[in-house]
Amino acid sequence: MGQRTVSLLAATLLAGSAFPQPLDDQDGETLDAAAAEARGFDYLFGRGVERDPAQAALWLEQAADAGLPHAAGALAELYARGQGVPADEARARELALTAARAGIASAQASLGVQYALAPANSSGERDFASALQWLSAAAEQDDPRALAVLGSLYRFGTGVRQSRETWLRLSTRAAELRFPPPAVDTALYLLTNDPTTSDVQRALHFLRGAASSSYAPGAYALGKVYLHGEHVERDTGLAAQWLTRASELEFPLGTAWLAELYDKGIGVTADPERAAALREQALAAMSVGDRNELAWELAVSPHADLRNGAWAVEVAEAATAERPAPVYLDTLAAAYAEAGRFEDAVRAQQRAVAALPSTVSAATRDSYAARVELYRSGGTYREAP
Amino acid sequence: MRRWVALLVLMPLAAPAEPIEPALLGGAPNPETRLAEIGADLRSSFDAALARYDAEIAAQPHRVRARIARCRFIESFLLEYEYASFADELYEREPQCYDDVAAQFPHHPEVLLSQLERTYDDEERLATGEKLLPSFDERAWTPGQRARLYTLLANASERLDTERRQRERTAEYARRALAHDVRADVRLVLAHYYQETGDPAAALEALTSPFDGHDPEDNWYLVMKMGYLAQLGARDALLAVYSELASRSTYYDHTQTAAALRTVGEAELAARELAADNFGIYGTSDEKERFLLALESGTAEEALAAYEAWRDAGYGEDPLGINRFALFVAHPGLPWRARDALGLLGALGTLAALALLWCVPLGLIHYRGLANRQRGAPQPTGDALGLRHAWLGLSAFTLASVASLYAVGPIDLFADETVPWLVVADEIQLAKMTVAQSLLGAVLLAFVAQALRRHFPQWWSTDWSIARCTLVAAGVALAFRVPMFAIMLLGADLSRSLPLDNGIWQVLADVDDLYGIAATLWIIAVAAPVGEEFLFRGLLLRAALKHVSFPLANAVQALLFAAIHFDLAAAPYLFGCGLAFGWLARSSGGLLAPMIAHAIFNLVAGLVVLS
Repeated sequence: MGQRTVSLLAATLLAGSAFPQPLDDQDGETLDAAAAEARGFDYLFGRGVERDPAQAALWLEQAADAGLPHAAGALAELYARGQGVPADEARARELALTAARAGIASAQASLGVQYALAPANSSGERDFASALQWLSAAAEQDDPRALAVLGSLYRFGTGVRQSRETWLRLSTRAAELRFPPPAVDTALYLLTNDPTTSDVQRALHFLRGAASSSYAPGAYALGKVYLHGEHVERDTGLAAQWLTRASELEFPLGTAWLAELYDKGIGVTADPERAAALREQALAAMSVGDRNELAWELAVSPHADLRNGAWAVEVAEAATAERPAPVYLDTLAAAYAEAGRFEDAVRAQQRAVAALPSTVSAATRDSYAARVELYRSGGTYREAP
Repeated sequence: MRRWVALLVLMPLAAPAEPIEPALLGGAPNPETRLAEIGADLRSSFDAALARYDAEIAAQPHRVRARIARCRFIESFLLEYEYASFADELYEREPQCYDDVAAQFPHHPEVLLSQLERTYDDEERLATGEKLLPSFDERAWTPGQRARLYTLLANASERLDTERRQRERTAEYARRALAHDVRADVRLVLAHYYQETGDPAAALEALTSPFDGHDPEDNWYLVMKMGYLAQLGARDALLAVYSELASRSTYYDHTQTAAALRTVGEAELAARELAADNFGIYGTSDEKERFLLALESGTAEEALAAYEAWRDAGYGEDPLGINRFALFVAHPGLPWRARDALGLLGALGTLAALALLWCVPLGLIHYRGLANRQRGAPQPTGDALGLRHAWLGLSAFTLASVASLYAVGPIDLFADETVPWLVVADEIQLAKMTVAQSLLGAVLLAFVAQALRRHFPQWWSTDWSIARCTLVAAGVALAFRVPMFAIMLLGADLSRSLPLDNGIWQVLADVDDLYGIAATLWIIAVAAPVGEEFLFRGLLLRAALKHVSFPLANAVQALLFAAIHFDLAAAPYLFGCGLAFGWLARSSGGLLAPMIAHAIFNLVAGLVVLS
């Protein structure tokens, strides 16, 4: 299946722990630090009182000032989110540092992520040493966000020596701790690399976990696994079910494929009107990258019932109109070929070859060129099953 | 003279480059000195290792796990080098190290987990760990830390659990651990739970999960796992574990491994395991396994030789001769030995002892009746039945129970600290034993009824009409099963929540699987109601009424009725049923009503639990 690149760093940041929502009131009581901390958490979690981040912040501030690190960690989150207190990045970082130094994993992970994503300084350098230090400290306490972000740094060689093995180890551990973004990432990697039975079992477990926790890419990936029947028995009913879930979670590619299922009656009762509405909804929400991915699969899928030349052309033309990059032109050519428009296919593929940068590998250039000849001879391109 | 001068000049030139070992000069090497040198080396190695920890911690002082690892290093060093010259110093430094970390990181999850891991009393571990659960959110426990706490709780609870309610707690902690960390080391605990509660599919899933977080090189664990897989009949999964174990190590329990392999039909591999050196630490279990293996897949001579080898360990290995009888059934032509008669004597002795045991309550009734008579109390009414007739019936029932032990092939009886003899039989054997007991009991009680026809001529007759018997009996039975309906209406899983004779229902579920619904219905709706009512509300109650008042006679029969079910948790409930059935027998003037009540009582539970 086409592997979707998930922006892991952003996703993991967004998926960080959330604190409860606000309410009112305060009293003028004075408590010792430990009692103030307890009172602060009571307001924060609504234990015996109504949830009130402002009151929580007040008491936690008192406890944090007295050096209680858990209070500092919770208060840092409130400052970072502007809940109960005005958002204050500097204060949030100062408090997070206090908590992180006291060994609190969530604070260490937050600091690590901040360092990893912070813009470069005036000399163009970023503080990866601090990022690694805090992320490692949190990761060894099994903080899934830290594990995932640290894994990403190793995967892309950002601030560390690139290591796919280290990424896989860290990402797998984060997935085992049921953190959806690395779970999907790890599952897709496991499924696309000559998987053993155990790999497939683990991958499906990760995908089901991510999909069940309302993580849209998880539902989409699981739907596609069942739709393609790769390493599992093809089950179009389950595919439709999970793609519906992805669509409900506003994942445009999920909506697009659901439209295709309704159009052809695959796994659902055919409903052209619903298919048209879903297509419109998907096209409006899809990024150019999404369009390219969709068009490519509609054009070259090894499953005949999943190919749709006409729609592939429509989607690919929209993508190339926005960004006429070689990879998108390559998709457009494949779409023309699938639609039987071989002359257009040859022209689009020639444009793609011409637009290839000189740095591209010979193998890629050869494959692009080979497709020119393929289309010229009236052939269509197919991805291996 | 010039020679001497030349010699003196040459001597320094010929001096050896290395000092000569004292031993070469005739001096003996001093062991204490050598040991002191080794001790000094050990100390400097220890100090160097500790210094590395200190340097790492100085570089990253916020790494709590590194600090705890430093303390664990000291602890592990002491385990490895218990007699090091500086061990006493380390025994003081180790707790100090942990205390320092706790003081520096108060309430930190890693510190609390580490303290809990070093709490070796399971009761205390559970109590302390459960107090930590509410602090998850405010102390910012990571999912991994939460899972580790639940894992500790599940395993501590598993080691404590005997009661059903606590098993649920164990399983709940295990499930929560997995909800946070799919690799939590609780799979064996869960498999055990599912197996006990009759969910083999879930047990198998737990055992074959690709996320088993236990140390893959823990041989004890792998052998345990094979045992569970064998009970589930999961041959392929078992062989996969066996292949991994056998290819990596030889130091594991070969007897248990052989037993697991034999259970899934791998006789050759089982024999190979039994031939391996088992380090002489597993008693006679090797011989027993060899016998079972030979009986199942060897020749008659091999089976006899294996039995004799096992029996050589002593009379206690086969005290009732059950296994010799199984050998006789499999190979009738084999010669007997004089000592085999001891098994027969053991069986007769056990039967006699159990029959005499019935004399205790019957004797008490008898003497209570005598005392009443002497006090001039009015003579209770009764028919021609005497306590000796009741004893005959109870003994026939006992004979059926003992004889059923011989109907299911080889089983193991062994002495335990808590019970004199423990029967080790698999589920199929228990199911067969139950069917055999019901059939033998029916036949023997039929003989008793025939023998006592003069004294108890119309035991089936009743003063009530059949319709009345049925209506009142149904009312009584349902009154006792109303709690079950209430649970069912609340949507609970009855098979898991009923505290009623669960072991018996598990066996009946196996009877259902093995012989079908007709056999199950025979036991629950015919054999048990007719046999037990004839015995307890027929013979015993009527005989007792010749000696004591109805309330006392009824209480005694109900007590014995509860006792023969061997379920302490359900005993009060069964005692209540026994009283109600006794009342029914007396009110209706016969056994039809209690038999119907008993059958409905059993059927309701049977239909719900077995469906």
